[in-house]
Amino acid sequence: MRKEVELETTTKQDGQPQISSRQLGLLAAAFLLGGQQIFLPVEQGIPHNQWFATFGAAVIGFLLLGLYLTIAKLFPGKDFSKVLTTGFGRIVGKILSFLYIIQFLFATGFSLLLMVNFWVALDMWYTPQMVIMFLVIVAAAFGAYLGLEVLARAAVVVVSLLLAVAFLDTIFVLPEMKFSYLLPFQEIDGAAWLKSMKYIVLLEYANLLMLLVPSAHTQAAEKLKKPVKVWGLWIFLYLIFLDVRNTLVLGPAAYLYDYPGTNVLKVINLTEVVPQIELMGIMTLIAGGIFRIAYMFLVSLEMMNVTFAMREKKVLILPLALLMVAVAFLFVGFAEDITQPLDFYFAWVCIPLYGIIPILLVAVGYYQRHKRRKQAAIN
Amino acid sequence: MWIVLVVIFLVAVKKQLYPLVKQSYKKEVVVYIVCYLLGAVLLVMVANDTNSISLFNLSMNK
Repeated sequence: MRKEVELETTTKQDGQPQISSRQLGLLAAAFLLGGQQIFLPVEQGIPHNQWFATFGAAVIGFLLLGLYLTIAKLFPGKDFSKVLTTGFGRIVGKILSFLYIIQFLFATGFSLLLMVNFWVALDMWYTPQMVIMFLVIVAAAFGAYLGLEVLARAAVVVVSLLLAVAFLDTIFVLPEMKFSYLLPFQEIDGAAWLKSMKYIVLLEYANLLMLLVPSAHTQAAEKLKKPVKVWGLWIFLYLIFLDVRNTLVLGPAAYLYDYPGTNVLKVINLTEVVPQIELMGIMTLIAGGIFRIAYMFLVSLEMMNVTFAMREKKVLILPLALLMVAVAFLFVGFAEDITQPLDFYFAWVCIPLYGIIPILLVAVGYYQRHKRRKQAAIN
Repeated sequence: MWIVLVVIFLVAVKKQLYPLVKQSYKKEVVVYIVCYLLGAVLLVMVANDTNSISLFNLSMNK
C-alpha cells in the first residue's frame, strides 16, 4: 500500500505565511553555505593549517548558534525587536533595535561587496562591479518582496545542489589526497590563526543572529531548536570537511581565501567532468550567496518594520536597496587597507552586538522565567 | 543611459510615495524619505572619492 507523502504546508497567522521549524533549519543551512564566498582573505594565509582555523571558528559558531536559539526558547514567538524591548525595557530596547538595524544594513552591504569581489576575482574581470552589484541587489530585493516562505523553499534547492556537488567533487579527488598534509601543527602562527578565526566567526557565523528576527513566523517556535541545531551542525561539519579536503589535496597551496573549488581545479587535471561539476558548484554557490544577501535584506526590512511599527511593510524595499548599495560602495575606498577599520568594527560593533548583548538577553530571559515560575508557584 | 535609470527611479518613488501621502501615513513617509536621503548622501560621498570612480564606469574596458 502506498504511503501518503506529507507535503510541507505553511499556515498563515495575521496574514503572514509561516514556515515550519524544518524549513527554518534548511534556511539556516543555505545561509551558512552562501557565506563561503565572504571568507575574507587574511594578510598572511596559514599554509597547511587553515582547516584548523575553520574548525576553531566552527566550534565558536556552534556555541553562538546555541546561544541565539536559547534566546528564541526563552522569548518564544517574539520577533527580535520585541525580545529586546521585553528584555531591556522599552527605551533601551528601542535604542538597541535601532543599533541592530544599522548593523544588519551594514552587514548586508558589506557581504554584498565581498560577494561581488568574489565574482570579479572568479573570472569576471571586465564586468564593472556596479553591474554585478545591481543584479544581486535586484534578486535580493525581489526575494525580500516575495517573503520568507519563498526564501525557505529556495533554500531547499540551494542546499541539496551544493551538498550533491561537493559529494561528487570529493569522490573525484580521492586519489589525490595525502594525509601527511594535515600534520605540521607546529608551524601554526598563533596570531594569524586567531585572526582567521575571528574573521570567519564575525562575518559568517555571528550573523546567524538574524535567524531570530522573523522567528515569530515559525509555526512551532518551541520546536525551533532541534532542526536548526541539526542542520547547523551538519553545515559546520561540511565547511570544516571542505577545508580538510582541500588541504589533503593541495597541501601548502590551500589558502584560506580561495574558494575551495578553484583550488582543486588548479591542481587536478582529470577529465572534463570535474571542471563541469565544479562549474555547477560555483553557479550554485553564487545562488547561495544571493540567497544569503536576500535573507539579510529581508531581516533588515523586518527589523525596521517592527521597530518603527510600520503599517506598510514592503514600501521600504527600494530605499533599503539603495542604502545597501551605498554602504557596499563605501568600503571600496578602504580596499587598500581594510584591516584597521575592520578590527575596529569587530571590536566595537560585532562583539557587543553579536556576543555581549545576546549573553545579557539570555541572563535576563532566565531571570524573568524564574520570576514567572516563582509567581506561579505562589499563586 | 543614466537619465533613463533616473526617470524609472523617480516614477517608482512617486508610485510608492503618493499612496502613503494620500493615506496620511506620516511615519512611513518620513522613514521612506530618510532612507533615500541617507542612501543618496552616501552615494555622493562615494562618487567624490577618487578610489571609487571606476565603480560608475559602465564601459566594458575596466
